Amino acid sequence: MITARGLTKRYGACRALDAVTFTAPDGAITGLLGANGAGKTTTFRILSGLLRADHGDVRLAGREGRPATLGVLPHAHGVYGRLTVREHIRYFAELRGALPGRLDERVAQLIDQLGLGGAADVPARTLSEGQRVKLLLAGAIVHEPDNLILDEPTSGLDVVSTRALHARLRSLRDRGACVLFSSHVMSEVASLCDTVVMLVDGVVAAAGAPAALLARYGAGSLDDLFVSLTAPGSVEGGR
Amino acid sequence: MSRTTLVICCKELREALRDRRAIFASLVATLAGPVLLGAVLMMLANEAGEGGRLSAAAVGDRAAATLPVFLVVSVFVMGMGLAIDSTAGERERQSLETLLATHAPSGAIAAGKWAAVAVMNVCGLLLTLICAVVIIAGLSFGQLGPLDLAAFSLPILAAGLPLAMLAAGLQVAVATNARTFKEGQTYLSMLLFLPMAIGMLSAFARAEPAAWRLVIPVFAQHQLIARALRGDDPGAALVLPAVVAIVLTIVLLRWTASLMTNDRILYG
Repeated sequence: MITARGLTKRYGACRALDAVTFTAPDGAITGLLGANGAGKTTTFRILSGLLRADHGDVRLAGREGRPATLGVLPHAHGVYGRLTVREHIRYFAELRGALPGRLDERVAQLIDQLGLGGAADVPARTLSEGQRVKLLLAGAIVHEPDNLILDEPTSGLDVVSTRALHARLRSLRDRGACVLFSSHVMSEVASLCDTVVMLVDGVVAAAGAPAALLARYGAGSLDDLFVSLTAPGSVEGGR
Repeated sequence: MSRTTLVICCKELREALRDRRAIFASLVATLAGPVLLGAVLMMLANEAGEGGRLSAAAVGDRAAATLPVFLVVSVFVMGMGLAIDSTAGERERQSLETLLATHAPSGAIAAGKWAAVAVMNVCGLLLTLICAVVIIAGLSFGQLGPLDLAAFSLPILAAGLPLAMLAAGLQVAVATNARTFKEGQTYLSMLLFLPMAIGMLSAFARAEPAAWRLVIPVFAQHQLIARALRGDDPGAALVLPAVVAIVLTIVLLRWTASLMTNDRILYG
């Protein structure tokens, strides 16, 4: 479970986040929605421990009393071009201290599950955008984390890759993981998310299950709801 | 050295060795000076042997005066590309964020990158030392005394290794401040003037330096290497410069580690 409480972040005079509070529960996929520049990446960087919030804090919970573990797929999909796919995943596993005894087995399993088999031993610089995302996802889940944060994982992916990624996220959720991802594709969010958090100009404008939100605001679709919340002056009403 | 440091160091070296063009370029950059110098000195030595303008002793003096500059510069050359690529390059290619998101300790990340660069710098020193041995051996074919390889190489290594570590610390710290590979290249090229300038200053300084000068890195190593080349074992004088270099390296590593946790590292 990931809990954000009162996250506030300023860049000089610009207020990026203002008291952002929400909870992403275990065994659920939570979608963070927002227009470009709404503060999604800043929120994720704070949740991942890459940035410090000016105010507020982040709580991560592990399952069954274990220490909380976290996997992160960042917004930028930079890879180490001269490492092979196998070496790349192995590197991140070793950095995480994951499964020292059966590392090769786990890496091979991930390559197989993510459909990277044909590219396992080619340099990462030759991968397509979709394969890069899969490679970075493998690095993010190699240590079987309780909590997974993905910043716009499907941007730049084709339909087939997007569907494969969705299936993977669902299977992680079904095994009890807390999956938090961001997107600005409403249809994706509607089909995938158990909970959505709508971020408008660094403020949580609405949060809840998609169906409940539509009922509460009387909107016909998430698209309509999002547009009405994003319209100037609507944030105060939404809160 | 922590396991994480070792994992990062090995990965950086593995990637660096696969970049054949970069390795070739840094080999050329490391060896161009000493090879050219060796060729010129050997030509002069041949002339001296045939009753030319210079005496054999004068050629030997020139070798002893010029080689230390190349040796102190050599520890800054081989690791330069790797230092930039693994810090500023990672920021530019946006893979650094993924690395930092693993929550590997920032000190271990800084140390891993530093260790890889230090290994390259030490390789540069060894290659240049081999060149120096060949040059001195070549000159000895004239009328210079026979070369005592151990008496000559060990003090040079003892002086050069701490400097190679310090050079790596300086290069990694400075390049981590750069946002792009190109920016890092500008800074580290400027940094290369430091050993050159100090080496030249030192070459023109009096033979026996004041004790305080042994506290200044590069300057101290230059003096120690010059002594070793004249067949004079620096002995206990090696200790102070080594301690200074190691302390400064630790300070630079801590600075690099703190940069890795700074918000600014994520923004271009």
